[in-house]
Amino acid sequence: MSLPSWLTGRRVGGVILLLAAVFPWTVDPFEVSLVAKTLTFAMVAVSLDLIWGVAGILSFGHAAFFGIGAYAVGLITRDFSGAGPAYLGLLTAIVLAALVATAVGYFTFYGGVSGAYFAIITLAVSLILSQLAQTWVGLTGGHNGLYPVPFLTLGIPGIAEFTFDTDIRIYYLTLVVLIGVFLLSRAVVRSGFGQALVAMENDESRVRFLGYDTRRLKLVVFSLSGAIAGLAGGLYAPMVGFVNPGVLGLLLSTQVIIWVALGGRGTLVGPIVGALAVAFLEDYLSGTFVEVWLLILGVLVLVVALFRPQGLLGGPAVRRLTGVR
Amino acid sequence: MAEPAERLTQSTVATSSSILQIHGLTRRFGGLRALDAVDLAVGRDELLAIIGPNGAGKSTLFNVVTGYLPPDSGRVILDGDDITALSPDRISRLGVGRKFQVPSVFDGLTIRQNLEVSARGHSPLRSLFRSHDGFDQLDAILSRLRLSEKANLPAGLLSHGEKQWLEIAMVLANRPRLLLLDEPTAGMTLGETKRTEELLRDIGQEHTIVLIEHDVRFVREVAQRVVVLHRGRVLASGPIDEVERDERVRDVYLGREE
Repeated sequence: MSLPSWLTGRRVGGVILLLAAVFPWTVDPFEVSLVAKTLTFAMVAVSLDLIWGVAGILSFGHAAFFGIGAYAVGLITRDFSGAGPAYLGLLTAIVLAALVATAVGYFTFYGGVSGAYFAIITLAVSLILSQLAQTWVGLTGGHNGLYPVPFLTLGIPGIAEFTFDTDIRIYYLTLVVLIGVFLLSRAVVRSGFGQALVAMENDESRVRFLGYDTRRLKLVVFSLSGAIAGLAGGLYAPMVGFVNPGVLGLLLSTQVIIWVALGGRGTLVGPIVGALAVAFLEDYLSGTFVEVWLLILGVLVLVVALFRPQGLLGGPAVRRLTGVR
Repeated sequence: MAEPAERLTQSTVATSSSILQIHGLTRRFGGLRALDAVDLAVGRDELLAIIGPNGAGKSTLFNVVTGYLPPDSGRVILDGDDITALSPDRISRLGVGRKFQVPSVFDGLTIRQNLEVSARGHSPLRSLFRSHDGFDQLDAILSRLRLSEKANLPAGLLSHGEKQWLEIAMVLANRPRLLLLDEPTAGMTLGETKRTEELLRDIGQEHTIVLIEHDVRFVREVAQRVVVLHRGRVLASGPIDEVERDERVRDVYLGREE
């Protein structure tokens, strides 16, 4: 399938950006906040795509990093207002998630753990953190979680602060960060490092015999992936106004995998589209078919897995448009 | 080095010019000695072929030299440095390039990208995020292997023989001091084998090559020296004519093979 030559990545990207920019003015605020929330999930999906889609390592506990980010921002901005603490919160979200990913990655990759065992370990880590969030009531508020988490205030601390307190403002902030995350991830995939990751996904032992320390490659991409998921969680908490152990749990970890698989592994845009499509369908269908919504989602995943295993946006045409690989 | 040169058997060439020295290398699998006190030296710029029947220990030798398997005893010396049982990536960075028997190329990357990944294999992690400037020679390697026209095709589309060549190209792009090639003509047509002969003679001008091969005709065309492995031991070593006349070699290998 080849595309007409006028259909360039720049033009398609421009149209999508234009649509994304006017979108919040065409629908009601509830929809805007729903989409903004979904954009933070899309960031997690992109981060999972880096480690799973590009490097071929499935993390079954990516919610752990999202949750760490959400709790970090929740804890720091709940008691201290202003742009300074907000930046500190977001930075903590990124760094703490990256550190946890580095620690988990160090013991697994350097311990020779791979494949399904790695997935199980990441799952266990997210379940442990979720349990910790429920029992360490003094810090996390237990089951009730942290409430309220104030809106994010950014800008220049003390001089020109700006609070993201309307759905439209939050939407634009999230959109800009998501675009940044996408561009960063694309740059990583296109770099020599990204090429080595793709090669490692193809044939790990060949890559080692070319001189690459594959344990380090895995550790770096996992830490980066964790950092991005942490940032997404950090944006999510102030958006919804609370954090509870649900953000660390199994449900989100599983959903992210579905978004990436539906949209197309290794494409970076596919996971974003996957997250948006599922959110849209859920919003649209769960109103009418409350009981069967999950069944419909399950069938959809099966159909894509059977008839389009590379995902909705997997394939050379999309690759050409997005410039990923 | 503690090991005196006298310990080396007649199967070795002069130590001073050796790039690779193997001393008493032994590797067991259960009760089987896949390698049994193998001594071997590879001279600089030599093209050495290792032949032997299936199960003689040829691939095990490569696996131990490249760090894929640890030996039970013995040492591997590269240019005077002990590299015994280092990890495969470290041994690669020290300059040992390896081509596998079943061609291992990256199907998800283009042919050029396969070479780029290979060219960067020894780079520090940090520099992987910068643009790379060691790519000038990739075009030369591509044309040498007659892959220039297909440079931007996914490697998965290549034929079996072309994949063998691509993997040789990858090992060259990796800039090793020593090339270990495990059956580069496996699965090739006669024409492709012929072409590979020329290629190896060409590459052999400027590289040290150790070759594992089943095809004795091919070995006769390219190799300066032949080592025969049998049941994990070095049975004979020398120019192919001498080795072919050796009674023991005829018994265990040549007579049975053809």
